[in-house]
Amino acid sequence: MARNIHIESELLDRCRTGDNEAFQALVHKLMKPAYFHALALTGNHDDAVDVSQEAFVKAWKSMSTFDTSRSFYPWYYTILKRLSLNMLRSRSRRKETAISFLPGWVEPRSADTPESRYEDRELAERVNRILNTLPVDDREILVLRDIEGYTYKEIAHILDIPDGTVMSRLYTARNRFRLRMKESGYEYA
Amino acid sequence: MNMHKPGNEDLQRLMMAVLDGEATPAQEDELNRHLNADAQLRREFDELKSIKHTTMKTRLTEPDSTLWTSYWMNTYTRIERGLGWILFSAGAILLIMFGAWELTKEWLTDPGLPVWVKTAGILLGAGTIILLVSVIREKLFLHKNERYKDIQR
Repeated sequence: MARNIHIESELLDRCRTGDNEAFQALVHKLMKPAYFHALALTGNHDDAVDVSQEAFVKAWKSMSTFDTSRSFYPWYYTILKRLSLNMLRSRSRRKETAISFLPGWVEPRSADTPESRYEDRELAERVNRILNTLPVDDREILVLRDIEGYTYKEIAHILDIPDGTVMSRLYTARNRFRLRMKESGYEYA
Repeated sequence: MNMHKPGNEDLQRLMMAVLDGEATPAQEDELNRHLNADAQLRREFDELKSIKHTTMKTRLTEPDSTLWTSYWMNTYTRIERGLGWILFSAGAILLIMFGAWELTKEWLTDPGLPVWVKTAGILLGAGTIILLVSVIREKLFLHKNERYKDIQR
């Protein structure tokens, strides 16, 4: 089930006036989607924590300019994504660990028997490996739709793009994923 | 799939809508007609369906639960430190400027110092200011023209 990202306008109004407790409530409500979305973008736990918290700091500083008649999360997500891209860029500039070598950030959802547990783990590792090789935009939309389970409307809302673009981007991402899976030796039933 | 087929993008969107259960019955019928007429398209669709089921079997790795208990405190610490640094820097800049001004005043009005030393001091100060302004201007220019600065997605 998709994580709730809705914030009541009353809470946003209180945040705008500099109410620290209101902002704490907002962070509590959004920390999980923020962290997991940052994880999808950066592919790394430490970076996801860093980027999602830094995005909250930036949002707090710019809160006075935020139009409370609009939704908070898409605005926050724009900051989150920009910081994530900066993080990825500086990581590649510093020639740090390539994303494909970072520990897994995708795991099996559930497993009933020891055999299926092993199979699911292997599959999750493969999914993880392939996701790491995809462009950020592909990874982002695949995670939002297939792993996090957001609807087209919710994805369009978060990414601030039309529904049609969500479908086009999903096709591009799934198609690239499909081809990379094939290249990795995966056999379709 | 034939990438040059007319209306290809519509077909791709249709496939996604059907895969994700967001299509109307009429759209599903339309896609079925295309799939029945094109074996290659059918294979692609089946593979995309398989991919979707595969990714849906996974979830993002749950972090240690202590992350959530300390999340707000760590965020608040960042906010607090940011504010602390701004105040610290503003205070330090003002004090340094005041100190430099007082020192310059005293130094320039000191009758015991030869004129050439005072002139050298003025030149040193002017040079430092020019270098500082030049570095700041260069940084601002680079920031404005940073290629990927505005990349959001």
